[in-house]
Order: sequence, then C-alpha cells, then structure tokens
Amino acid sequence: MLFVDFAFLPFFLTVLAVHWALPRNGPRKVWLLAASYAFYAAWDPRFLGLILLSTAVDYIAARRIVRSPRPRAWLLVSLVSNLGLLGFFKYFDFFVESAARFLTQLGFQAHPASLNLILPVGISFYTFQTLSYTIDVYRGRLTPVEHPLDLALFVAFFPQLVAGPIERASDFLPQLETPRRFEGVDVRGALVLFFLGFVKKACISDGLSPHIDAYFAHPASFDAASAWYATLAYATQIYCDFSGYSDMAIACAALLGYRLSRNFDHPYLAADITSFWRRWHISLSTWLRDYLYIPLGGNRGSRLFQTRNLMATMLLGGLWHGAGWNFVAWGGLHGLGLALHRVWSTRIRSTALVRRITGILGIPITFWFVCVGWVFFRAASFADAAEVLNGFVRFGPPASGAGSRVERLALLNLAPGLAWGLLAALAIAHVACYRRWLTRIWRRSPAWAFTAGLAVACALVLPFVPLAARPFIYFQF
Amino acid sequence: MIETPARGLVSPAAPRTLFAPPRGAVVGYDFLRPASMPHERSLPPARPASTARALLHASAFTVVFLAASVLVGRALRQIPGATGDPTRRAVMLDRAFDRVRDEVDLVFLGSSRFYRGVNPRIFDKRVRNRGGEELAGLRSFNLSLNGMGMVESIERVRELLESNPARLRWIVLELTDLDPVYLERNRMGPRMVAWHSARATIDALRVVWSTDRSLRSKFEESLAHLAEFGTRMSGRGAGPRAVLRLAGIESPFIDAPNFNGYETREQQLAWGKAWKTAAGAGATRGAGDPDEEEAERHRREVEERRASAPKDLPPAHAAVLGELVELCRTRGVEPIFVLAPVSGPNRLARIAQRAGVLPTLFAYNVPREHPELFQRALFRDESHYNDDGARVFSRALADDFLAWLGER
Repeated sequence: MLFVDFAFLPFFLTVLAVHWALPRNGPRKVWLLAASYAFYAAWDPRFLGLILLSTAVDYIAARRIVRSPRPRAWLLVSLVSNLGLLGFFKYFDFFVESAARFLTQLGFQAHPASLNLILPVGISFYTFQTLSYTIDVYRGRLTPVEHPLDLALFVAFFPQLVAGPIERASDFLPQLETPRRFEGVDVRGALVLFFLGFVKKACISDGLSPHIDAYFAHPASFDAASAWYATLAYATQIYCDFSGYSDMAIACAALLGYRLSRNFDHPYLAADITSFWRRWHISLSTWLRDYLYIPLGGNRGSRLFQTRNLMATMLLGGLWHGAGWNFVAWGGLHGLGLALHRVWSTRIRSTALVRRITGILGIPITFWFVCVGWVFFRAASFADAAEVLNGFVRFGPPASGAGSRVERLALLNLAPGLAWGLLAALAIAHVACYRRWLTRIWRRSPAWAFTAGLAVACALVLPFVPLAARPFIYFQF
Repeated sequence: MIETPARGLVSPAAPRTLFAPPRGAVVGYDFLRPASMPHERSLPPARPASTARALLHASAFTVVFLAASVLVGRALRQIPGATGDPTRRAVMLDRAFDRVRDEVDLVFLGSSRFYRGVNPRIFDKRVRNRGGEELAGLRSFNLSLNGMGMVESIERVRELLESNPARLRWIVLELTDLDPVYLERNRMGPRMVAWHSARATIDALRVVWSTDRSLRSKFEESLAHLAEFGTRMSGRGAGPRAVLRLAGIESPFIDAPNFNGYETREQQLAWGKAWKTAAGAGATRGAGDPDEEEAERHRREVEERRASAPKDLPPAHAAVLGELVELCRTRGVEPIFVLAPVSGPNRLARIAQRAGVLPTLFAYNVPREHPELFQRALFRDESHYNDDGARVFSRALADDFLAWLGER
C-alpha cells in the first residue's frame, strides 16, 4: 500500500477516525500498532516476523543493558541480531556473488550459493531505528521503555515504517508517554504538507519516470541533449520521490498527533557539499554522524585520520542504500567531495571576495557534482554510468554503432521547449518553497477559502497523476 | 553532513539573497506550526483544531473536490487528443475513421479476432460483386481493437451513433463475454479508463452483479470498474497530453491513406516501427502482450469462468443486449452479432438468440460447422488469423451477410 494509492485513503481515514475517537492513550497506541502491522502486512505478511523479532530482541537487550553487569554483551546481542538480519537479507547475495566474481577473475572456479532473497521492505530503516534505541540506552542517554507496546509502536509506526525518516528513540518515545490532543494538531500545515508530498511523488516523480527509464535503459544510443535532460530529470525525480514520501509521512504522523523529524531541507540550494548533506536525508546523515562517524573518531586526530573516518562513513552510507558497487562508488564520490570541501574551507581564507564567488558559483557547482553522483546511483552498471558521462558530449552518432542513429528522448523530440521549461519551473518552485513565498497566503486565508482552495488544487493536480503508480525509489533500500 | 547545527537554531546572519533563508527563519525549518517558525509570528494564532469543525471542513472539501474534479475532467475531454487510448492503432483508427465517417455503411467492432480477421477491402469487394446494384457502393470499416470486451463495444456503438454517421446502416459486432476476465495489465490503462462512461460503468456493474461470481469477486470487480470510472471522470492522467495539445503539439501519427482498419502483417510491422521512430523513446506504449505466466493465469481464469457460467441468460445480460439492439434500431442501424472462429463455445449466445434477444447471430465458433475456417494454415497463432485467414473469413462473412439480406 503506497501513500499515493487510492487504497491508502480509506485505510488512513479509518485509522485517523478511530484513533481520535478512542478516549485514552493506551487503546490509541494499541490501535496504531495494529494498524501499523496491517499496513506492513499489506506488502508481505511473512516479514512481519522480522519486525517482531527485532522489537523483542531490542526490548530485552535494552532492559538487560541497564540491569546486567555486562551491558556491553547485551549491546552486542542487539547489534549482531539487527545487523545480522540486515546483512543476511540485504547483502548476502551481493557479497557471495562479488566474492565469486573476484575469485573467477583470479582464475579460480567459483559456484556462488546465491539464495535470491527477497529484501523485506523497510528493513534498512527500522534496523537503524532500533539500533539507535539500544545504543542510546547503552550510552545512558535513554532509559529503557517499560512497556513493550511503546517500543513496538516506535519500530513499526506506519507513516515512517518503510522509508523513514529514521526516527530517534529519544525523540519519539517521549511522545508516546504523553496523551495526544487533537486540539494541538496543525491540521492546515499537515494537509498542505501531504498535498505537496503527493504532488512531488505522484505528479513530478512518476511523471518524469518513463523518460528517465527509457534513457537509462540504453544510455549509449542517446544524444547529448537527452543525457543532460535525463540526468537533471533524475536529480529532480529522486528528490521529489524521497522528499515527497517524507513529507507525506510527516504529515500523516502529524494528523495522528506525532512529530517526526525533518528529512529534507531544499538540498539542491546547498552552496557546498557539506551543506548538501545537512539538507539531504537528514535523518540518515545525522544517524551516521552520531553512531558511526563520531565513534570512529570524528573530527579528532590528524587530517588523514579524519578523512579516513569520513570516507568510511560515506562508503558505508553508500552501501546502506543498496547492495551494489555503484552505491559504494556513489558514497565514495560524496566522501571525496566532503574531504575536499573540508580542505578547501580550512585552507582558503574566507575573504569577502571568496564568499562572493562561492556564493555565486557554489550552488551550481554543488548541484552538478550531486548530479554526477546520481549517474552512478541510477545507472545499471559502471559501463552504463560511463556511457551517460560520455553522453554529455555526444553530439554525433555513438561510437559503437557505425551508421546507427542517435536517438532523442520522446519528450525532447516532441516538445523541447516544454520539456526544459518543466525543469526550469520545478527549479523555481523549489526556490519558492524555500523562500515560503506562498506560506503567508495559505496560513492567513479564512478556513472556508483554505478548504475550497485545497479541494480545487487537488482536482487540478489529479490530471497530472499518471494512471500507473510506481513504488517509491527508496523502498528498495 | 558532519556538523549539523542543532535543530531550532536561528540563522544569525543570513545574507539577503534569493537562496538565503527568509529573515529570521529557522535553520532546520519545520513545516508544521509549533513555535519553531518565528518568521510566522506575525500571523494570527492558529485556532485549535476541533472535531466538529474538522468534520464540517472534511465534508465541504469532499463536495468541492468532487465538483471540481468532474469539471476538470469534462474540460479535458473537450480537448481533442487529450484523453482516450494513445496507442498507435487507436490513434490511427480514430483519425482514419473521422475522414470517412459519413461514407461508411457498415462497421465491424470486436476484439483482436476481428481486428486480425476482418479485412473490409475483401468484404466490400465480395459484397459489391455479388450484392447487386443496391450494394454496389458499400463501404465498411473495421473499428476493432485488441481485447475489446462486449461492454466496451456497446459503449463504442453508443459513441458512434451519437456522432450521427450519415450512411451507417449495419454494425457487425463480435459477441464476446459481457463479463470477461480482463488482463491485469490492462486494468486502469488509458483504454479501460476511456470507455468507462457513466452508462458503460452501470452496464458493467449490472452484468457483474447478475453473474454467479463469488461475493468477494463481485466487490473486487465492481471496485475496479468504479476506479476506472472515477479516473475517467476526474481526467486523471490526461494532464500532460492536454498541455501538449493546448500548446499546439500534435501526437505522433502514421498517415496511411485509405486505411480501413485492417492491417496486413507487413503494414503492422512497418507502422509499428514508424510509430516508434516518430514517438521516440519513452513515449506512451500500449500495455503489450502478457508474459507467459500472466497469459496462462488469464487462460485458467477464463476456463474457470466458463465452467461456472450460468445455465440461463442472466436477466441483466439480456437487458443490456436488448437495450443495445433497441438503440441501434431507433437510429436506423441494424446490429448483427457474430461469434468469431476460435472464440470457443458460447452457450449463452445461443440461448440469447433463441430468446429473441439477438435478432441476428452469425456463429462461426464450431469447427465442424465451418471446417474451412479452422485450417491451420490460416492462423498466425492459436486464435488469430493471418492475412490468408482474414481473406477467407471476410469472404465468409460477406456471403452470410448477403444471404441474410436476401432473406430479409
């Protein structure tokens, strides 16, 4: 069940109505937990067991950590079980096949025992979430929950279960202790946020998807305009897809009275790569900072030591996104970018002139660096990624197909002005959202005008929702 | 990534440029209201939410949304080419038929069995040669499409009659299941959505609820039809094409003069290739053929449905077919129903004919009655004719048409 599926609407309205109709906090939490498990089971009920297992292990481990004389051992139990499940389901086939390929290249005969495992949806997200709970308890920053129901709801809370934001136990668990009040819900803000998320996902991301898929299926046969367009469109698609999901998740949670953490903050307006990572998938980047980078040594030690920490964090962050070397390369590229930016910002004196120059050039340079990273993220192989990068300057026929025609994407063929205009309009919309040009209008308008305006806006965007909904890109992670 | 500022920290000296946060904005901006939005302190305080007000606004929202959706959907349907089936054959058929609408005497409507099996040129030639002076100028057109079910055919007939074609006198309809098993890949596709008018949806629901399906199956099928109806009404998915049409950008088109709805194998391949070139990569394609697994599942479901078909013609089926016949006749058009070869046994069709629901039925579906239509060499696959098969079947149709006219 996707947030943009029609089936989600009756599901969510039922959950919402019953949730607020229940008089006390306890029954509400039970109801939300049941709804969350039903939501997850709609994908594949078999994997519900993994969530229950993860919850049970962390509930017991956290309580033992504070009571047992050997808290470290219980932390290890939590780490091994959670990372073991993640590693088995997500990375087993990848590592076995990679090892077999490596051995074959060395001249050995290798017969990999690939299990063709199905990746349980959301496992990367809820694993990191539960880990943050036990680690925080171990560090003494959090006391273990008394009731397993609270932990179960923290792990399985359906708005953020399958694709984040990766919520911290220290942010979410206290909310479960306080009864939620409908009077405190910012209904207007939540509805607008859900609407924006819906437009980003259903209209923009899904609308661009066929053109991007067509390009990345055969990048070698397309011309330079298609390469540029597909890359820019993919940057738009992945942002709209993931931030759209996050917006809808935050909005759904808000309507239920809970606050989830912010996951995106207009990342394409970042003037440097460090700033980009403060604005992109914030819940993951802060998780990696707090539970990986700082334990590795963080900013302490020599410059080389810091760079090592940075690269390790980003390479693992890349691998978290998917079991593929292209994701590792993507993480490595960003790690390199972050290291270079750190050298730049410590070595170059921040004079007014430098600030002015970086102020003008920083955003386009950072954006283009990120786009090149997305090529590795999206391409099916390194060879395809190289074809895309070559494609930026492919103004003639492709080298491989003597006499063959260079194709151009349908949209660019049919309506080049509209195609480029669409991307330009989306860039302006990005700035408009950042500057909150329209916030005052919808915040200040009378209730009847807001209701009617939102209804008409929904009716107007519906024609731009493709007939076939596509799964969220980040579901595969 | 590494040194994220604490949430809620106010940006102290943000430069006043377009890309800087608004004055006094929060770094780590939260969209939702609580006090983390100091730049909005000038706004009136939010009224606390109340259940009664929420219900009132939800009702008002629903009413306005539905009304606006219907209006938007209606406006989009007024833009030529913005809605409907965007695939090659459908676009070619629409344009070719528009050119000759008032010159056509007879229209064929059916599934791929008709689309592959009826060649109007052969049919016309046979009828003109053998039909005497009255039929010397007869012209037919094949409007059949892959996977066209009976309710869709009926909707097409309605649309056709509403456009008042000047010379139309006969409609030859392939009789298929009124409640077919639709291929999963076609559900919610542009074709399915396009024919789900209010009338067609009501017909589809009447038919579904008069069958022996399980209650769950009836609900699921009804929901699918209602979703397709809602999609059509709201114009969902039609926006991008509407923008292109309003900007004066036409859809790609293969201009084939004298196209009468039949495609030889060579034409089909050549036009398919030309369409791909004209449309470019990433253009809308049809759902394509099902893979083996899906085709097998579909075949199984069809068999199961046939095995559990009712023994008598359900009243709703009789009513839907009867209304179609009456509609045609009030417009001066005579419907002729055809059971195409390889369409399998259709007991209900025979019952309907005996009950007088179907005024005319040409049945070619029994091999022993028409062995000449079932020769292996006439088929391109297990259920579709090749060009030779189309020639033989079109002549057989023409002969029976002439015989039927003679009897009248």
